[in-house]
Amino acid sequence: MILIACAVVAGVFAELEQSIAILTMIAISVILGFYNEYKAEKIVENLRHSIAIEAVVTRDGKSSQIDSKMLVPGDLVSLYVGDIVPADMRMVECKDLQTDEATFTGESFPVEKTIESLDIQHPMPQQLRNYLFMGTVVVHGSGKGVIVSTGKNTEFGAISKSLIRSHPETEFQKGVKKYGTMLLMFTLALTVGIFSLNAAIGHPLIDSLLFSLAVAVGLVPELMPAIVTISLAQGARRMAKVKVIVKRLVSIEDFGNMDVFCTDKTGTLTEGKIILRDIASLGEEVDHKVLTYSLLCNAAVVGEKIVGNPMDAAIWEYAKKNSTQETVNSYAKVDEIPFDYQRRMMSVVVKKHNEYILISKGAPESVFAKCKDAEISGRTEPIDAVSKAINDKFLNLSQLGYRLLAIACRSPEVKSSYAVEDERDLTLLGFLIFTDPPKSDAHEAINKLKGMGVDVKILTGDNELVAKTICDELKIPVKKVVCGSELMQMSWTEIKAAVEETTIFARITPEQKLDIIKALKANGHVVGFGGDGVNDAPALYEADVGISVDTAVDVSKEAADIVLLEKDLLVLAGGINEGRKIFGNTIKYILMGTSSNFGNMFSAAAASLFLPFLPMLPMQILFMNLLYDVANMTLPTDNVDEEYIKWPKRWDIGFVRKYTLFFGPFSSLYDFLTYGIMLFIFGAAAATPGAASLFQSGWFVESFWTEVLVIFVIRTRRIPFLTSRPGKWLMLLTLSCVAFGTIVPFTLLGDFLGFTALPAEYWALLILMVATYLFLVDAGKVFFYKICKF
Amino acid sequence: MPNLDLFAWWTISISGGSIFLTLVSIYLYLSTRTKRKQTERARSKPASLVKDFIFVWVLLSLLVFYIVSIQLGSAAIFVFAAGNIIVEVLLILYLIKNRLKESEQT
Repeated sequence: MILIACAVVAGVFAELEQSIAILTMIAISVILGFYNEYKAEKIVENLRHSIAIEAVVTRDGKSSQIDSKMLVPGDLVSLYVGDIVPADMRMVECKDLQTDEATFTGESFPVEKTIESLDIQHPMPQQLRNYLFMGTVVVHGSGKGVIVSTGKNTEFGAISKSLIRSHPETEFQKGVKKYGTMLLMFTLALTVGIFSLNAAIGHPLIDSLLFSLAVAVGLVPELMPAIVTISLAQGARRMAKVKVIVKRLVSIEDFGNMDVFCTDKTGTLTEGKIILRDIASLGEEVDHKVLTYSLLCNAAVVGEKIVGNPMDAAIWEYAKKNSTQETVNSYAKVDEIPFDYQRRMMSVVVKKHNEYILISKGAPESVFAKCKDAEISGRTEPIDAVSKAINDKFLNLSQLGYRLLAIACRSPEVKSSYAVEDERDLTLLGFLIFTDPPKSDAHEAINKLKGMGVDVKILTGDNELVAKTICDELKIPVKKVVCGSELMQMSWTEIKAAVEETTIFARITPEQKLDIIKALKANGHVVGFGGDGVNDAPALYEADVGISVDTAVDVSKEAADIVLLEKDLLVLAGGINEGRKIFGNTIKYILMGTSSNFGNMFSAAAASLFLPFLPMLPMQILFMNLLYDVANMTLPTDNVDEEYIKWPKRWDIGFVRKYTLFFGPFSSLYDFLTYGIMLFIFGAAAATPGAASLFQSGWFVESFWTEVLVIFVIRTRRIPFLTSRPGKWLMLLTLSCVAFGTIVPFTLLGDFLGFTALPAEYWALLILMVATYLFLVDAGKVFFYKICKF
Repeated sequence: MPNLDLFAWWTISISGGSIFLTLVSIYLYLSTRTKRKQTERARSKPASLVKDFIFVWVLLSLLVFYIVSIQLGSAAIFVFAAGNIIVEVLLILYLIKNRLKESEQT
């Protein structure tokens, strides 16, 4: 807008040529900005597409998977556990289908669905058991429904205004907002001040207005949105290479700066996969029958791959690993009584040398109920006599987080088929102990995160013993364990204190997860939350960075800012590193742009007061600004010092202000020095026709050199700056821009912009002056970073 | 001296810039003084001031040098060049002495 105002003022009151030049620069800036933002958006769109929510739809009898946004009324949609219902639909097929409608009706228990017609006059949505509503989540079973309405025409769409809450503003967004305000204050103060002073000392009003507007333009880093967006988008692309997909670009900064990461243990600290850990006989000796019988009483399909119930598959994996699967070859299967959720067990009848055996396998409490005896070290004893010892063993193992299945058998009467009634008078043989084993690299990953300044907290619905067992196995130091019941008794102040010193929160509800995240945020932490379940969605929304995994349910992925393609803390650490690099490069641009522009414009303003001509023409200021922005285009690819990304950083507007006030005047001083050289050594003070052009050319080149070359000093905290290697593209483009800026006064473009060729001695002095400037700024860094921490 | 008024204006501007930078430095230094006091109690105040503000002393010396040499007009080119080279050597020595190793940074 300021640039357009400049062009209008120039066109109306000054020269048309100047107006056209300004408009050309606006066009170049807009094209550059648009191109970069478009490219960035395309990258993000591609990344988002890789995790788009899709629906299985049947159209004209053919099933296909399409983006849920493409659904229309009349489509037949298939739904499975974890799916977000993509539209309002009438169910035509239900198989144990239950949905979580908490976000829709407030009903916290799953709602069972049916295909039957309902005879209700003016029903409320929650009474429509044969309907699924958009935004609810399938938590059990599967089904098919015909879409009745989509998008804003759905029940959810109608009330979405009151339900949808936007993501809380990130620390980065808050920082950018404060930065904008700071820049506005600087710009307003300088523009008004320069115009008033120039007008007061008798400069023509139009020239004063044009010049003050050009100074305002010079202060604004026009390409900042493009640089920030491309920095984030390129970072997102680099993060995708380390298997981290960014859904919300603005969360990248907070991802890098997060200092507390809360996560469930399953799949993060553990493999998220069930294995058979051990076989427990009731006696002291291992009874190999337990494994053989559990292979026989097994519903897994064994081929090249083992497919089926995870526990059955785990038994086969265990047998294959221990080469004991051949033991089943001498048995022939007679009949099977399949598993069902009421009995919570299955049975088979097998035959070996005309001996029939009924084998039952299932949940311990279900199998116990059907046992008459227990076999202990080859002896058969009544179950009542040993039930206490067996129950104690079962409870101990359960409390340690193990899942158990019991194995029992009996010799049945010989017949051709068997039924549930035959599952009686069994003899208990032992247990199969299953576990979700700790990840081998979890210890290393936790240590790595700790070394990066990220504290890991475990938020689990499991009991405290299970979580503690995993932490002990992984040698993760546990400071304190707090249970949900204890948390419930605490005041807000106590919760805020507790979250600081607690490592494990056990038996907690989804609401308590939210409280913990809120308390950590209130304590000033940047909080990340990793979750993959339906109940994790509110916490994923509330956290500064919601992190989910590709295998998570749709609702979690939708609520998350970041999606990991592997549920692995080492992947997370890689992503955090990238986030910190992006933050580092964004901050570099802001610090350099603001301080350099402030310095240059401050000196331009001062010079306009005592010089008989403008120190730089508005068009020249705009050209310099454009060239500077081009030089910065590759900043997102710059290297970031290792020590910078070691620790999380926070956006600190106070630091940006101090930085601008401190480093800005350095460039002003050298601008003043150039004024002196041009005026009193090279004779630009003389009232000759070419004096103004000589002065402007000299200052343009010096100003551009110092503004661009200081990038190499400011981009690193290392002293001397030469010990930090810049990115090759940054180096190449920056030096090319310096070369271009240097030859401009000798070209036709230079003539058009009002520049003139500079004397040879000037270049020699310029090199010495700029070298002194760069070393002086580096010396200033010694002082500045000693007193201003960031 | 080609234009006394212009030179006076220029001297005021460049001195003003240096003074502004010095004042900003003092402000930043004072604003963190309490924290520094806690961590650097052993250090005596005058020594600390001399050492911490070294770049300010260099800056002010440069200012005097620049004003004096530019006052000489076109004859000052060699003086100006030599002065810059000397200051650069001194600054490089200072930077090497105060180099910040990777391990020292946080």
